Amino acid sequence: MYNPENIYISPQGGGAGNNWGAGYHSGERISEELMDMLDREADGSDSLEGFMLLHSIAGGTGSGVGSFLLERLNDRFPKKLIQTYSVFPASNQVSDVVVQPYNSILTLKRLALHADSVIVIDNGALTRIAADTLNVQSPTFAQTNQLVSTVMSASTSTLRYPGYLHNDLASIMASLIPFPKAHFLMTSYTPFTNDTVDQAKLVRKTTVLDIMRRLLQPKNRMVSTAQSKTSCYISLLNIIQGEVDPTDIHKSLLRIRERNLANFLPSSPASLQISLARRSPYTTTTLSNSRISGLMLANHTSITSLFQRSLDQFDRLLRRQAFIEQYKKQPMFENGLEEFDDSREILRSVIKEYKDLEQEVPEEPLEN
Amino acid sequence: MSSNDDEIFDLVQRLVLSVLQPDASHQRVNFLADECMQLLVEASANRDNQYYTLQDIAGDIEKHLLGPGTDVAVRFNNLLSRLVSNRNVNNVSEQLEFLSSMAYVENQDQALAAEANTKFKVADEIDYQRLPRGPGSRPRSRGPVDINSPGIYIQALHDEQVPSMEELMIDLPFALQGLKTNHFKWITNKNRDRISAGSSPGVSLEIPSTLPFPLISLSYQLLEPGLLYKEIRSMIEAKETESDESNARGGTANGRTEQAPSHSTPISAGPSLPRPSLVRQSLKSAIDQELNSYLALVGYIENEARKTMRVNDSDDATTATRTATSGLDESSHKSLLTIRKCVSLLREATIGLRLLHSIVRQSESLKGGQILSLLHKSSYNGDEYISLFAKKLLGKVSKPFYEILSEWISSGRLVDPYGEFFVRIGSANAIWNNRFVFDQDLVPSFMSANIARQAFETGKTLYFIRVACDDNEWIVTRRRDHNLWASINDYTKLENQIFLGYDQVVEHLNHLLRTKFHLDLHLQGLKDYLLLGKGDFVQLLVEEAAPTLDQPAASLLRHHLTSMLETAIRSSNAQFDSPEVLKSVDARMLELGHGDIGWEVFTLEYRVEQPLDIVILDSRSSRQYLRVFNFLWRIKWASFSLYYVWKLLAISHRGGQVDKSYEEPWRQVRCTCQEMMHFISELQYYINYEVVEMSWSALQKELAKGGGRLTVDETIESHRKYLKQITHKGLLGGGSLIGELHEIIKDVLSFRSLVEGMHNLSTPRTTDELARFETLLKGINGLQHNFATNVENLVHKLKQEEDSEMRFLAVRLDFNGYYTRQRLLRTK
Repeated sequence: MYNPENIYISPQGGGAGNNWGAGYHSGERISEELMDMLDREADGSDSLEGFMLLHSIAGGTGSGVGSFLLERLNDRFPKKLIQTYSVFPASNQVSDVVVQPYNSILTLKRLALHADSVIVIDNGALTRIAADTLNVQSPTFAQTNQLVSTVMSASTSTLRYPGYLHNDLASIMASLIPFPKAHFLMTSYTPFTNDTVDQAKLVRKTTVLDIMRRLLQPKNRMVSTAQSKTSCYISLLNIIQGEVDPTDIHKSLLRIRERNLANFLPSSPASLQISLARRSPYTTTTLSNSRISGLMLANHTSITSLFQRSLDQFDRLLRRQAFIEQYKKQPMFENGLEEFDDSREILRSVIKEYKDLEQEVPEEPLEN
Repeated sequence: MSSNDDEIFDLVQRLVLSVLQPDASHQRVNFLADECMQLLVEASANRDNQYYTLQDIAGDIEKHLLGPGTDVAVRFNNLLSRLVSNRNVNNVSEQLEFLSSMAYVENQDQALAAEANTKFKVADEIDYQRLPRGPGSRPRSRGPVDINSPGIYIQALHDEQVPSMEELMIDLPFALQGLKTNHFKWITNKNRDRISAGSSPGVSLEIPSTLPFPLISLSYQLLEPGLLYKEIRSMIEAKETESDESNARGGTANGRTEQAPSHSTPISAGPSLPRPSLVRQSLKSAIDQELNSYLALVGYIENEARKTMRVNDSDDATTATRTATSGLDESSHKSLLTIRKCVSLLREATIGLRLLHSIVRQSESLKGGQILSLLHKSSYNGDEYISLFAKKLLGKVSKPFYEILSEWISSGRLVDPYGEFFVRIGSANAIWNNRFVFDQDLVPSFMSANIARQAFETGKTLYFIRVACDDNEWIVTRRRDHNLWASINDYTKLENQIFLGYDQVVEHLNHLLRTKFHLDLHLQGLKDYLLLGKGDFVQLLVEEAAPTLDQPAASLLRHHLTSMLETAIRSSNAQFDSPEVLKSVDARMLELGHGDIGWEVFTLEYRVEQPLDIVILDSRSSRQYLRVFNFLWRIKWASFSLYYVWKLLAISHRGGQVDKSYEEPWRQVRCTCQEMMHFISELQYYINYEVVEMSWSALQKELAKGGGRLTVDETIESHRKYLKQITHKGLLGGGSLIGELHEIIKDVLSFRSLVEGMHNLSTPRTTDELARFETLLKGINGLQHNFATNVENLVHKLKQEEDSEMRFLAVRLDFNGYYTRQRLLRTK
């Protein structure tokens, strides 16, 4: 399935040593090879719609090279959509990589400027969900990867097994991202079963309402954010897979609305969107047909808490000029650290965008 | 009064004459007549004095004649009470009085009274309407006769009677055949012009007025079959000549003319052919048979009569005749024919003829199955003989009906040139719709409505299989293999066969539709292509076609459209679809006038061949599909434009090179875009899942009902229901909703060009550009306002809809209460 020619492994081995600058620079060095691969694939495509980039932002696994690639893709394919799956560092534990905040902010600048949609996943949430579903305290990378790949598979199911709606990336993104600056999405998936994830618990048959309710629960989100009173959904899309009766959806939506389980921005019309997707016809597990599962893709203003935290950490480090020497060695920072300030400003403007949306109150308070 | 007396006297005189020997002197006659008159006057005077009540007379008789308390008196009382209770006998007291006076005069015993009683009973059975009046009233005016014993009285009767017994016996067989004889004259009453109304043709028989009274009742009985025979004959022959004249074709009177028209052209043989219908023909032939057997009986009687004659000739003529015809004496010649014997010989035949007569009369205005119903009704008669007779008749008469029926349910051919079967051709041009019409009136009553329906469906379906599905072979094989239909004449067997045949035919029909004609595949195809179910195909088609369809409609060429369709099929999953389906899909332009630009005239088309064009895609359904497609296509177009706008906005934002000073205008554009996108995507979800998918699963359920054995009509019906549901719930059912919806979509469609204009000016520099930018922005704001108001109204209206799905659309559109708030704001 994969073309081995398209796999690039650094001949020297190893990475950029947690240094975003080093990663970015090495990306520049090998850019020709990478772009060749991309060109080749792009040329071979019938109708290329966009790109998907998987990386982490804190350094070590694609923050530097990833950022570089984002910029180059943008130049090279100005009209193609770019979606990234970006793994954020866990918020609740101290990382062994001290320069994480630097790398995060630098990467986030690129994500804010050059990507059309960013699916935010944080390691802490992944670990928590893995512990929940797999009953393991410290999951392996392979295990957490299975979680992420399940999500990715579900999010593209409407593209791969087309139905009425959301048959292209643009339609999914358009319904989620009304304001281009606010394009950081969060996801939930339920239930994780051993169809897609090894060692997952066996799950009893679940109803549509169960699925939809669980998708809205913060504990099932693959990113841990701090909810504030004002935070709300800008948009929300549930992709339900499996044999579903539209009437069940109908009823579940009414229940959710009744109980006010999903708060939307009041300033514009919005609703919980649903897309029904088929499963792969090739998975022949007997259970999979009757079982339904759901993926939530949501644009929620609480995502800013994550940015704010990174920003705070970044500010603390930068104030002390800690570990800055390593970055100064890289070509980008040879002439000063404006790039740090620039990135910081851009991230602040993203946060502001979300805050503005939150604060946009309707012209008059709702009666009753 | 005096003329009345004269008349009475005259009558009395004639009475006396008839009783006396012909050679009696004139004086004796006059004397006797005077005597009688005297008696009569006395009697009436007594009556006037109210002296003679019934009880008085009865008491008188009891006292003087019988002696009170004797057995005879008891019997008399018994008889009397029976006489009184018999309503048909009038003036009991008068008659009793008459009899008692007779007794005084002649010492007559009760035998005579008893005989009078029987006479009246016989008279009851005779239809006075039809019999000549004159003789009927005679016995009542009979006066006292000076004859000493009953034996002599009877003797006198025979001797004096004008036509002798021999003559009567000779005439009888002829009269029974309806021929004119010396003594029995046929009168055709021309005044009674009621033939067409179904009553008797007004033939009556005159019995010689000189016939003695006991013989009269016998002759009524005796001659009734003759009368009936003549009437039946004249009725069926009249009909025949009628039809013969009109047709100028000699239909034979007797033979069954059952030349069914050639099977290859059953349709051309119109039901208006003015020949007697097949059932009528067979009825006639059955009646002919019955009449012939009646004639055979008459022949036998004639033979016997002749034999009797010969015996009498050789014997002493007077005594033989007396003993043979009176029937009162113990006859030693048992084999000889008597009038009474004739009556008993003819009894059954008479009942049969009566039934025939009533059937012929009643069936005059009936046709086909109705005649059978009539016979069937008679076969339930309580009289075993009648019931058997009717059954026999029914068996014969229903033959052509069974022939038509068996042809109908075995091959779906309607061989019914006279329109007597309960299936009619509705419209000869149609293949299915209204091709055959069920006529409940012509269903014979022995067939239950359910069975008749099933037979109707069977034939209809067979016709469909043969003509529309072109599968004559199966029908022929089936006919040959199951030789069930060749021998239908028994109804219970028939019922079973119809059941079996029905199931078999319907099963084969479904098998044909599904395997040979791919019904399911095409239904899916219609949903996939015309209802835009194949998302990737539609997506590609829209993308592929968009540049072309943005052009004016006039510049569009059909081959552009078809090549676009080809490309979309080839590059999407549609390429793996069945070739059967793919060859049905086509693209074309609507007639100009639907719109100016390519998008508005583009349409997909789905074509199916016979028989599916009848079952699922008749012109009405095609139109509905087209309407739904055009609507969905328009929504698709709107959503495509919105995605286009969104992409424009998203990508231009990338890299962060947006001029800060124009952030606000673009923000407004994005808000509008988001609002529209929200509407369109909710609408799409609603139509696709709530409307199409729900209706589809309902349709699937309907089609799978009863193990997927549906008749053509049922399939058509469920598909129509499906389409109706889609159009109704898809807001296409008329009403004000569609207007609002079209306005909304129009707003969405014009949004795109405005945004494009703004985008091209993205950072206006000159004042001219600035002005244009402002105008465009104003346009967008106006559009947004318009759009929001329309949506708000639509939501409001939807909330009041009856249909829960339609209300649900309102819920989805107003999920976060935005439109409710707007409405509150506006109404304040």
